[in-house]
Amino acid sequence: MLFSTSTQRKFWIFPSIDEVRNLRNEANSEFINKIGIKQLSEEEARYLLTPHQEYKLSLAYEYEIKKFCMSFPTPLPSFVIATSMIYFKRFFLHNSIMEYNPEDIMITCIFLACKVEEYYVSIQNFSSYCKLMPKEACEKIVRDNELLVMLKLHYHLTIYKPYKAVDGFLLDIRTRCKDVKFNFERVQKIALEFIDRSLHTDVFLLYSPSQIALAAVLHSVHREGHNLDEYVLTILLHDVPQETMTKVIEQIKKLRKLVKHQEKINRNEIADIEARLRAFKATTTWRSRNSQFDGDSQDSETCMD
Amino acid sequence: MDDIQCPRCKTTKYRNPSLKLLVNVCGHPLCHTCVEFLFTRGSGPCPECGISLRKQKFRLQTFEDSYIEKEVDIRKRILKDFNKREEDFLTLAEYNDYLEEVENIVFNLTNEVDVEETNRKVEEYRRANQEIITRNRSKLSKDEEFLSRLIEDEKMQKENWNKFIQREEAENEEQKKKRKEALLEELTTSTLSADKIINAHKKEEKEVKRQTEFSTGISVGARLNVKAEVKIEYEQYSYIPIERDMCGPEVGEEEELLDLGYATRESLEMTKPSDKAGGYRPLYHLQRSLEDAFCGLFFHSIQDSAMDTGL
Repeated sequence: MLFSTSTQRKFWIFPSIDEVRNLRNEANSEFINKIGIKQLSEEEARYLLTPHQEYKLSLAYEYEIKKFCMSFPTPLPSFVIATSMIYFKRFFLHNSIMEYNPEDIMITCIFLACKVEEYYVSIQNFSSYCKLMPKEACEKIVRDNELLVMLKLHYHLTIYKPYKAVDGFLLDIRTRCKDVKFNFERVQKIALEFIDRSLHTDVFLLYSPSQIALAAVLHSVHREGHNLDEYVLTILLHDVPQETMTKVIEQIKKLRKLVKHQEKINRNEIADIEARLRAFKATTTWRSRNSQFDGDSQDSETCMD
Repeated sequence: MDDIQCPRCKTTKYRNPSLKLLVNVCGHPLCHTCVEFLFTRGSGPCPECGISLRKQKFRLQTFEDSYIEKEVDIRKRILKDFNKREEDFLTLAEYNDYLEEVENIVFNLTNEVDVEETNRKVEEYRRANQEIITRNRSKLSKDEEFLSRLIEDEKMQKENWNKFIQREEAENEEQKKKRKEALLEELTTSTLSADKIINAHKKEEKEVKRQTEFSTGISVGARLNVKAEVKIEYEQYSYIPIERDMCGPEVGEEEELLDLGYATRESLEMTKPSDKAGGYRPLYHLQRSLEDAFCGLFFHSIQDSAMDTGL
């Protein structure tokens, strides 16, 4: 299986960042339509989140995912973390954070990622490692949400990640570009850090894992004070049409910029958004209406409280 | 299994697996040890009904139900005397009446209805028909006749077949001998070389063999009235290499990678045979990393945006 034939390429990579933003806006307005904005009292309507606020909150939860995974007695490997973060991203691309509790979705995504990446953690162990809530509550969340998350991900569960690709590029450089002299171990380490940072952006919804890996390698080599332009232009993209070459280079540049200028999380701001969300959920009208159109949410409702 | 129990000593089949229930003419079962114990003197009363029994008349119980056992026993005894056949009567109705009478007698004896009268009837009948009884006893019944005829037939067939095979073998043997003689004769008289003659003979022999029958007895060349299956021509499978859309630079095959120096041949050698288990080769790891690196490098989603995302 290759990325080029994957569902990731077919369904989950979008032409531009505007498209991604549009999808988030749609998810937001769709939810508001669903509960019926006209029926909301003025007070309730005040607590609705804007798409950007939703995005900010989901970003904050992506950091939480990492924290959660690292808090395990043996921290989860990076490919599991990446997969769960991408699941989370994809989930809230089409769904509003006001509709589904981000914490529940986060835990479910992590558990699902463990399974899909064949990094087996039993539900008992998993829930006992979870420090956010009692064991039983954690188990219940996973049980209630696992199928929902898979459904919302359209069962596209295989995620192509750039970790191995970094190895591939380094191997290729080492073999075909013998005059480059730099510390490969350090370069690899910095490249992986770059990938970790890129997980907190939308690049996984915009570029192929191979491009992310190349950007990571170029970034880290650059940080080490070396230049790989020659390798890219004359070896890697050798005998490639000029048009494609410029496109690839352009893509990589944009990608690096996106990671470099990624949105920072402001704790106060996030706390504010979370408070609003809580206030919004606390309004009784929302809750009763929610259970009307979402029949099975009553169970999860009790968990949320 | 629990049901099998000696009514006298209450031993069950479960406690004594070798338990054997015996019955006498009255049909009441008794276990082997009880019979030994009660009838040490050769005869005595049945502990159930008080009829006097003889020890020699005890036999293994065939049916669990003692009533049936008794009925079968009586029927056997009665049929010994009432052995008339259909030929002995003039009309079918008469024969049927006779059969009904036999049934009546058996029923009366088993259910102990008018036992004395019935016994007297039997005795009378026996005396009146002494001649026919002894005559019929010496005759075989119809069924037995039929069976013996079947066996006879089978024997005959077997014999015939054996004879046939023997004849066939003898013929073959003779022919072989003749051919051998002819060969020798030719070898001594002919001017041709020995090899040629022998070859010619061998050919002849083969032809002779081919003419004989199949082992199933169907002669060669016989046409069977079976429609031959219509042969359908299928295209033969031929391997078509998978075309991969790399969307990036191609990763070479194994030889190419080695030539480019991605790995040395020595480093890829698998020294132990157990290394080969699972079909994994050291180069796969390398190839996989390169594929991951190159696949999708040229990816540009605007090209793909024409594709229906379906979401």
